[in-house]
Amino acid sequence: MYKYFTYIIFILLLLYLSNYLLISETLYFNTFAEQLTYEQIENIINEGKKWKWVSYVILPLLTLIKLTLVASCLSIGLFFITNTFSFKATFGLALEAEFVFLIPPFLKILWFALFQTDYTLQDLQIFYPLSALNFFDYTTVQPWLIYPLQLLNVFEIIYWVLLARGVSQVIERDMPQSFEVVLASYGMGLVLWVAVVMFITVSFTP
Amino acid sequence: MNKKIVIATLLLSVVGLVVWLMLQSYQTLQRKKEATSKMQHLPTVALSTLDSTVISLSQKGQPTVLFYFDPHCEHCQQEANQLKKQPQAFQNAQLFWLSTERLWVLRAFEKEYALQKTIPSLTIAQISPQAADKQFGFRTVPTILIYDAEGNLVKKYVGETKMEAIVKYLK
Repeated sequence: MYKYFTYIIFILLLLYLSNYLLISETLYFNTFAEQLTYEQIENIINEGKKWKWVSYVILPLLTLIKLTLVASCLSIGLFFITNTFSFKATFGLALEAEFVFLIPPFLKILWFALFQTDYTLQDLQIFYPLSALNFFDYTTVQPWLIYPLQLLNVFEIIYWVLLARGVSQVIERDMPQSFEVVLASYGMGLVLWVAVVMFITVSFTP
Repeated sequence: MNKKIVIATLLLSVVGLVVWLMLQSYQTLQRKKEATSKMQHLPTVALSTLDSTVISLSQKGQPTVLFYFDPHCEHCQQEANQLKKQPQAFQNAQLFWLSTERLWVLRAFEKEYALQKTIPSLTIAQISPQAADKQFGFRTVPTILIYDAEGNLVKKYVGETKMEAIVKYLK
C-alpha cells in the first residue's frame, strides 16, 4: 500500500510542478488569441482555476484503474500457466513497474522549462519524451495516430521488461518465457486499449 | 482441453473486437475524407427555413458563412450574442445558422436571440443530419465555415469564435 501512496505523491508533485512552472495566463492568451476574445480567454482561465482540484483527485483514481486493468490482464495470463489467480502479486509488480512512468512527466517539465521555452498548450498536451511522435511534426500527424505514436516510447519498453522481470519472479521461469506471458496478456490488453482510443478519437474529433 | 478452448475463445474475442473497432474507425475516416473533399466548395444543400419553406443553400456571388449550431449549446448562444452586437460587419455576406434540431426549437431560438430580425442577410435553417455529416462532416457545435465569393472554403473554426476572426476572412 505504501508503494501506491509513494507513487501517487510523486505523480501529484509532478502535476503540481507542471502546472506551476509551465502553465501561465500568457500561455492561454497566446494559444487562444486568434479565435477568442480577451473576456472569453479570461473565462477559460477562471474556469480552469475553479476546476483545477479535479485533476488532483482524478489522477490517483485513474492510476488505480490502470493498475487494476494491467494486473487483471497479467493475472489471466498467469492463470493459464500456474492454474491460480494471483491478482495481489500482479498488482504489486504492475505498481513497481509503473514507477518508470514518473520519468516522462519529469523530462517533459525539464524540456519545456529549459529547452523549448516558447510553446503552446497543444505542445504541452501532445509532447511525449523519447517517443516515436518526436520523429514527426505533430501538426501534420492525423489526430488518431498521435496516441499510438506517443505509446511507442522508450519507457513503455522498459515497462514491458520490468513487467516480465516481475512475472519471472512470480512464476519462477526465465525471462524469455515471462516476456511471452507479458506479450500474450498485457500486450493483448494494450492492443485492445489502443484500438478503443483510436476508435474514440476518430469518432469524436472534428 | 478446457483451458485451450478458453484461451482460444478469449483470443478470438479480443482479435474480433480489435478488428471491428479498426473497421469502424476506417469507415469513419473514409466518410470524413469524403466530407472534407466535398466541403472545399460550397455544396448545394436543401434546407428548411423557420417558416417551413425548403430553400437551397448555394453560391450567390458573395461570401458565405455557415454556423453549425445547437440552440441548447451555451457557446452557440454566446456566439449569437456576439454576432448581434456587430450586424454591420456582415452586410456583404450571406449567413446561415444551420442546425439538425426540430423547427419549433429553432423558432424559439430566433424568438430569444432575434438573429434574423437583426441581420437581414442571416437565415436560420434546419439541415438534415445526413447532409450535415456527408456534405460538411459537422461533428462539433459550434463549427464555422467561411466561403469566399467564388464558393471556396477559406477557413474552418471549431468552437466559439470571436467575430473579428470571422470578419477578417470576408474582406
